[in-house]
Amino acid sequence: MILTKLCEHYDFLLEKKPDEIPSVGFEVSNNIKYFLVLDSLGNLVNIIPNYVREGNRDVCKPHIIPTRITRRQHTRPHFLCDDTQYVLGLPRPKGVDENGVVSDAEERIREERCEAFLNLHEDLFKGLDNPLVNAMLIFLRNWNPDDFKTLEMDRVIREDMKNVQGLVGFLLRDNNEMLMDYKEVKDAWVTYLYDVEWADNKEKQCLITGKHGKATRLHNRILGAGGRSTGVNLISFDKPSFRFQGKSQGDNAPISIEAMHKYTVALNHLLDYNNNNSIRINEQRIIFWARTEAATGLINSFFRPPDDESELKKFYEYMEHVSQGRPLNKWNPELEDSTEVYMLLLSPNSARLVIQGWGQWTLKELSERLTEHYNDMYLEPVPWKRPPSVFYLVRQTISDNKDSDSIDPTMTNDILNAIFGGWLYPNKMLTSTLLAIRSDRNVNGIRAAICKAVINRKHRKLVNYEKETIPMSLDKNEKGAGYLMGRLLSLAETIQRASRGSRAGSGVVGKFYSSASTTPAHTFPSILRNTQNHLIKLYKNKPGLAVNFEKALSEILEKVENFPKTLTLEEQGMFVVGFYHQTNESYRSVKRDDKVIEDGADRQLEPTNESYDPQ
Amino acid sequence: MSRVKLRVWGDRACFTRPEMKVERVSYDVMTPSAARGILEAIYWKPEIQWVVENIQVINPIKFSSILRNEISSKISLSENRIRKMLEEDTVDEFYLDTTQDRQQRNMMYLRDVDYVISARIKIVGGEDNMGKHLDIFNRRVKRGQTFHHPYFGVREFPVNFSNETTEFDVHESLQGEKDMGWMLYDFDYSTDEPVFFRANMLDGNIDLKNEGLNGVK
Repeated sequence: MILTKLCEHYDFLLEKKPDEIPSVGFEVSNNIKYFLVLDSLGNLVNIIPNYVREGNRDVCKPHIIPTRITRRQHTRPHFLCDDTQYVLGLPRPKGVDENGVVSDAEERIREERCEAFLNLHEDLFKGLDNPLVNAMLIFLRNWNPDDFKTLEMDRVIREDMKNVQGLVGFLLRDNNEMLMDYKEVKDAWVTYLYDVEWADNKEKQCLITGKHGKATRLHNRILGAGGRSTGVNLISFDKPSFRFQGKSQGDNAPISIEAMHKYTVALNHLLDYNNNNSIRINEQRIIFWARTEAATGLINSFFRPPDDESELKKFYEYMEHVSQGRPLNKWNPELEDSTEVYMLLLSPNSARLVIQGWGQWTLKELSERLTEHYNDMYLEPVPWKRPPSVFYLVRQTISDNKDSDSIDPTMTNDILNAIFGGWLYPNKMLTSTLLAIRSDRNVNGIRAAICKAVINRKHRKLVNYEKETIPMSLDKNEKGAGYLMGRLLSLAETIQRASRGSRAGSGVVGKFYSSASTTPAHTFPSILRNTQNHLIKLYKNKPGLAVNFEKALSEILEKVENFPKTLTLEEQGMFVVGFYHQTNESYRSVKRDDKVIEDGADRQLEPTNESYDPQ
Repeated sequence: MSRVKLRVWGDRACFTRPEMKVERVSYDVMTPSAARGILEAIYWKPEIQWVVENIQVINPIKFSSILRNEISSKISLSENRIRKMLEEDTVDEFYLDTTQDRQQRNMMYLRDVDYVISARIKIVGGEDNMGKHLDIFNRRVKRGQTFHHPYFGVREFPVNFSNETTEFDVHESLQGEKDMGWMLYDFDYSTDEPVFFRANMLDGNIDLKNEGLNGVK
């Protein structure tokens, strides 16, 4: 399904952006550094650069050129564009000694290559009558590599060309046209490919299209996915243990040349970060596509929530709309319920590309799932200004003290599956978050939301669960042990800060969080003893505040029958939510009374300033 | 009446796509080839061939992925190797050191699968006694007898099977008509070539009556 859908996307792209998408036998090149400008008589009149300097790199303007076939033999010229050794017969730097003398071996090679380049073009251009073609042939026939020394040109260009870096193309001065602009040239190349280059390819049934046709031997590489710098392969059989029944390379999986071209071009296009179809989390890439811009835009805003106020408002409206079950095009006429959306989760593994996840949904299904996810996570007071992106969610499952490199990639995969597929959140999500909190003592709103989401969804979806779900906002009637313990700890912390009058010191949470959340019966008695001492101190300075605290404390304590010896994982999750709710309650109700409380209480409510996604 | 039905289910399945063999990706549903494999594990004789006619998908299609350490080379079984081994009476080079040969390979597999396979027996030799074959098969299914334990595409995912094939509700996500693309039908061992077919799923049902090894439909 995956490859089929990628091929369909190629067809769609080819229709929409024919100038950017190469057809079979061609590729996009970012490597053409210079153009040789010829006049119609075949004289070289100028050499113009095709790049701009960005930072410390030369960035070339991309062009579609004939596919460059891997040079398996020593001498194998490319069609139309090649490096200066093939086009102009310049020697490679390694064959020239310090005095500028070219070694014999190098002489032979460069003559061979220059010759080969001319011959290839003579062959392919036979019978064509075209101004640039003719000019190019005249130029190549008359060109002597020694002429290069006497040519007038910029010093930078000369150095570059001597170093045989990058490719060189041809341009006709009179009308600024390139060889690739002419249909007859392109046709000649395609004919050559099918008749000569692919003549020996076997006829097989393609497993993507089902049609019989020439099967490809090797597959094009995918760039933009990490791994090997020259690109990775989605499909390859380079080690013996991968091959089947002694078949070599592409025979192991018959795919036609055309289908291979389509899916590789589509994949490369989607992975190109300029196209807004992909997100990166560490080594993983999430790519998504749909037929309409509006749909892709929607998914983009899920992965990269907008900063802009009005954009955010629209996003919330969209979710409201979906929750009410109304069709999408009533809210935004560009969005259709039935648009198909595809998502692929990729990861590099040295020279190969690994598929870790795949999903396909209608826009309606997707919207419903996103809204369900958001509602599952929702807490009051809302712990975020903009809905947390996937990266941010996943980041919260590991300790703040660790690098974001330690994010578990299978977690990302399972979470995405849960969100888009509507399945249960992985249990890992809860356990990792709890471990992270114990490690860095940061009980923030996002983590509370994560705990709530995992537990609530489990309760809702598994039919035999009868327990009540976690409340969105502070629920004073909730008697669950975990929840109450969390509230208690938060209150103890607030009281301590108030009595001490400053934020200094690690506080109750810093010292006791781990043991309080796992073995409350063991820890709370001593915590509460200290709390009493703090209250006594507070009574001396701020009796009004102390009374309020005492009231809050007794309100919680009267619900506690006895302190549980241990808390289960779920109860620990509720602990986090209770803590969060109570902290906000304290913040709200004493805001007007005492500034110190403000400082202490709002410490960990806002998400940290970490960026929402890595790029 | 040469038809049988078998209910099969399991926690995991991986019907590997031929093009994604290295970093395995499963097809969305069971391939006829895998179904045949399950049936053959329960009962097979050279005199019969199994022809799969229908696959009913019951549980929703759910993927998950796992990363494992595997090896990259094969132990060579060339004639020269073996002759050398016999002549020199040594097995010195005839081993694989897995610690030196690591390859990490990912597998994207299906979770919680549940199918009903409908197939028929084709007698290709011996006496023309269909009843006998069916009896043996049904008896073996009831007793849980197998030549080797049937598996869902790869050996590590075992199959639970039974002849209880009528109690099921097709999941709502499988309702309607879905195009599953081109799938592997089976291998034609006479030519060593894979044969593909266009799979169409109707309410979870994939009809294979018109497919066969004789090519594109």
